[in-house]
Amino acid sequence: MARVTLTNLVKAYGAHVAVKGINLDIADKSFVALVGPSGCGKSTTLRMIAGLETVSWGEISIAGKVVNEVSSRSRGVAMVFQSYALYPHMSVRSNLSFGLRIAGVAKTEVDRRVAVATEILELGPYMERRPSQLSGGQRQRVAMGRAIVREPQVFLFDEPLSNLDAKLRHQMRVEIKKLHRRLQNTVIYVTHDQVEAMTLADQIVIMRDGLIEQAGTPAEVFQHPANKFVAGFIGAPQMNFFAGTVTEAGQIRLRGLERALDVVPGRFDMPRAGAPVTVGLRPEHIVPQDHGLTPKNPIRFEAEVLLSEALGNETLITSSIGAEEFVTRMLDPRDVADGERMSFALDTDRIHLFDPETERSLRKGSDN
Amino acid sequence: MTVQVPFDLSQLDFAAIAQKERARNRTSPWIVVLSVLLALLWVAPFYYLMVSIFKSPEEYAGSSPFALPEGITPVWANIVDAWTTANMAQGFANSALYGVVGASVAVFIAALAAHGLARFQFNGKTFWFMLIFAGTVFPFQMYLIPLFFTYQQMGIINTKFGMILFYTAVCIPFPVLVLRNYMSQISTEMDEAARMDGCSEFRLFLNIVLPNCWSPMAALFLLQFTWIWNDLLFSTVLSQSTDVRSIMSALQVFQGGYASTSPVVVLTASLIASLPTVVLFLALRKTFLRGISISAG
Ligand SMILES: Nc1ncnc2c1ncn2[C@@H]1O[C@H](COP(=O)(O)OP(=O)(O)OP(=O)(O)O)[C@@H](O)[C@H]1O
Ligand SMILES: [Mg+2]
Repeated sequence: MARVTLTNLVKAYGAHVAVKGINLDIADKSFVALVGPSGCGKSTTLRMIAGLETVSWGEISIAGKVVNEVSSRSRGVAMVFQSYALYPHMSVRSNLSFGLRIAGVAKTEVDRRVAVATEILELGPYMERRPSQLSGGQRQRVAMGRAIVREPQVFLFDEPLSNLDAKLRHQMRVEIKKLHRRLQNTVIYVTHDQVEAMTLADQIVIMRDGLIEQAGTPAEVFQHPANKFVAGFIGAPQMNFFAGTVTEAGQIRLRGLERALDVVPGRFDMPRAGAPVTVGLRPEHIVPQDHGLTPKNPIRFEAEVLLSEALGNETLITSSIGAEEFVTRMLDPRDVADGERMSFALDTDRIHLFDPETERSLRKGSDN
Repeated sequence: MTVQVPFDLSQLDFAAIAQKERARNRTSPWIVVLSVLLALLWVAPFYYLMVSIFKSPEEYAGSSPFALPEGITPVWANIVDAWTTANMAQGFANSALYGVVGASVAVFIAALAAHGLARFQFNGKTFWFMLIFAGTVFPFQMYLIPLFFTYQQMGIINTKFGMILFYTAVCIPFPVLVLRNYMSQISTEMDEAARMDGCSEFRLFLNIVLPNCWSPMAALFLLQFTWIWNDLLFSTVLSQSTDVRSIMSALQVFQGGYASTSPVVVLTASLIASLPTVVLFLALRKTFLRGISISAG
């Protein structure tokens, strides 16, 4: 059972604290994605788990055993690096077997494991080549193969696909998913690509500035973001935010909209009347007239198109309510002229509310 | 936007285009003349050397130094004469020993130091680096006098050990400088991958870092070998006897006491003495031109 537990984990580089006391319990066989903006401490966390960085404070345990002082090679973890970090002077075969050979694993066992990895990753034709004679995707596979042969309990990935082009990235994403199904190890996967995180992981951990902002399934973090940061980070184009005020009737008024927004009764901890709130609405919940399902409980308004970006299958439209810009997607798009007036229907059932001060979600039962 | 009719390539005169391109790249005749003159200037001494070794001492004395030789057979006599007069066999063996051992040990030690300087964080790192680096700053001649007296006191003057010790030490600083820079460019992720693969620090150095540094190391070996081989000054000061002195000091017999030796023999001897470095360069040329790609990983 390779459950990974981080307890009050801290990493300080001198006075700079990169990881500020995170707690995380990663179940056996689960696939966890660490996401967050650049510099938030994802790699540092992963490298502490790998044993490549010392732990300043707190505890890491793998399979029930505290590993703070255990060397990398004895932790039962394997890592795939962003730069692949293959050994340039060795053939693919030697790259795969190197770790096992120096550990003194018997030759037949080395051959067996290399054969398994080769078969899984379809590396057969490249075994005698040097890394420099491989394409990016092939190098990536060798890097994964090198991790597989160690038969680790925990797989660590640090942005493994960020050097690949979009198409290859999709291909490799599928392969990683298959690999996880087949090998059933615990995977901790660092990425800044939220599509990767959403599609691969069972659990997403969103970090900011050395702290965990929210952890949950992809659906949870998407549908019930715990705060404004997570709401803005997950989902593309990102969620639109508006400044609103709570009315006497418990509705929400946005400057620039005639009608106030109804709020689903009992869903939020509503502040007192007159208090400001931040309203969040995903692009797909402000529907351009005739281009998408009309919401059940709409508020209709007209606004000027400030910018339209045609993507082929959809067009992103930037417009505004009052002085606040928002982005929406027009499905089944038609030609849109900048400056054109367009009708939109805003889905009041789908609004998110945040405290403007703390930025926390006002939804009832949201944990932090 | 309208779709255009494809441009008809056949209407172009490719020969004319090529000529125009060539004209653009044509070198001025003055540059050519100047290059030829400079080349001749370089080749002249070499030509003089090459024609002279094929002449007998009498023929050399009786004709212009630039005249072509009458035959090629006198070269054998010249070689034998040079070889025995200067006891070149012993000199060759000694110099080969100093060059091979000195240069390879120096480059290896330099690689160890460079690895430490490029990879580890420790106190006084800059200080140590500057200290080693200082070895390349001062002219070597500065060491001559202190070295001579120290060697005398230690009793290692005029010994093979003393010679190797000196050559090894003096050949370390420059390779440290080069290798440190080279190793700094090797991805540290590769080191980390190797550590996770279970490498100890020393194995990491030996199995991962060194193999990726072969090309600069080969080049450095060649440079240091050549320096040791060609060194006359230190060899003359630190060794006297025939069985310790290097090939270059062996050649000194042609001065002074044996000054009566014909120039053709002296020339032959110097040519023979410089052959090994040329051969070594040709042999190792591929190794460092091939250049194992580091960035590829
Ligand atoms: N060796 C180090 N010394 C000092 N500070 C460091 C060191 N390594 C990382 N940091 C700092 O720690 C913070 C977290 O870095 P980390 O590499 O974990 O970020 P990240 O979330 O992986 O970002 P990215 O998405 O850009 O890879 C950053 O502010 C970084 O500058
Ligand atoms: Mg990172």
